[in-house]
Amino acid sequence: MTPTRKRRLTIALFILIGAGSATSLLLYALSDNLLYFQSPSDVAVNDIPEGKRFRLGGLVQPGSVNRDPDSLAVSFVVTDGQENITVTFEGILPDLFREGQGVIANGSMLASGQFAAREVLAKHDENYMPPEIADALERAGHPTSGGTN
Amino acid sequence: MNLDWLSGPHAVYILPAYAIALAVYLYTALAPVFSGKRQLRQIADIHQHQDQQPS
Amino acid sequence: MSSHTSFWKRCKTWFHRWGSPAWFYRTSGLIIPWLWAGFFLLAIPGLIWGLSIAPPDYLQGDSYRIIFIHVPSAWQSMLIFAVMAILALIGMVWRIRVAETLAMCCAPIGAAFTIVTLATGSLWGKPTWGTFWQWDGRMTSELVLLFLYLGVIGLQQAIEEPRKAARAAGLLALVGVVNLPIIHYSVEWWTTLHQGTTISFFGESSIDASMLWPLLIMAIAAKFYFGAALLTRTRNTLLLQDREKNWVRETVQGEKS
Repeated sequence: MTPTRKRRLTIALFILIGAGSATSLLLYALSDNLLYFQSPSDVAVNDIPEGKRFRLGGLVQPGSVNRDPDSLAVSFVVTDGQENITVTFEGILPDLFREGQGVIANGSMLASGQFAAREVLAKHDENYMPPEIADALERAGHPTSGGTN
Repeated sequence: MNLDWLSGPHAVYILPAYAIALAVYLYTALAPVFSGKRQLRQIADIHQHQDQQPS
Repeated sequence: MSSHTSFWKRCKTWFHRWGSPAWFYRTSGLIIPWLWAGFFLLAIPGLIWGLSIAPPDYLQGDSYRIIFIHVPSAWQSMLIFAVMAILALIGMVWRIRVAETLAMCCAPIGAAFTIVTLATGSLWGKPTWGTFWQWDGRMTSELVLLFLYLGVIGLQQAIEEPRKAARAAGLLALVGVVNLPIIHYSVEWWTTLHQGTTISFFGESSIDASMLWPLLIMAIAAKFYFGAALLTRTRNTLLLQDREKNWVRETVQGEKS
């Protein structure tokens, strides 16, 4: 390689390293703000003020879903295996909302320690399989649903 | 062959997704083919014009 | 040892030959039909497999069928950016005009793949997550990729002199590469609505084989499409840049007769 080309290559690599380190520092500094949702454990640690909007993410605790027979009001428990938070919501839940499944609720904490959701989204995991295989796994004692990774 | 999903509730999402993809990829592939043909004609015209100029 | 040096010499000659616009124009013209043939031979069976033979997903039902266009487009949108940056780097260091032109012609094709990724992802998000769009790490970084492509296209068009334009836009392509690991790792570094990585090339994939095969076929088809589209665009640009040169004169006359 000629000296001129070597010099140009060095400059290009320095630009790349410079841009890379600048971006890494920026992302590191902002990492808390880049989280799309908080887990119930995060909420327990961070002590989020009442009324502040944030997203709560976790799994819907099986058996915790309570639907009001007269309205669209529903309540359920979001868990990450360690901490639990009860979520109240009034509206239409996404099709994939089900017990044991990942869920993301957008809203704020109430004084009662419950979470009032204005919007509920379903989160699914990265596993794709035909229904027969999911059934077989279920029968073998390996539950398939989940989704907060 | 099984196209049951066409009458299912998700067809309204699947069909537009594939239609958008088809339209974008068709345009991206074909636009340069046509502009290339037109460009070839234009270049040929310029050459012809230059050849006719007395040098 | 002597066979070793002659191998490198042959590689070098081959590399230099591609640097000649006339040779590039002729050779790429021969390759393009084969790339299209490869694309159709893969994309048609891939689509039929994905849309009518593959089983529905246990959780999502049929909406997951968008995966066969979404994931290959997403991979391709990132791969094209990397290819563009490497070509721009080659163009920058060796001042090879064909490499610069190839890099610039990557941008509109990459933008097309990014638009399809965003649109199909949005249409997939509604029936599964319950929303068309959320500002999570994965979606935002993919949108940034689209803006980077548009930036490369815009910068290149803003500068009159084509070689200066290619070098300036190539610099943006090189810097923009830092977004690629962000897109890939966004689902690991931060909490996101988008699920984690399904397909791993070095471990076990968490997708059933009956769904994985059509997905991989479509992904390879996307590479053939990209090759054909890139060569077609690059040939056009080279022809226009060299319109006063002898090889173009001969080519134009040859194609007319």
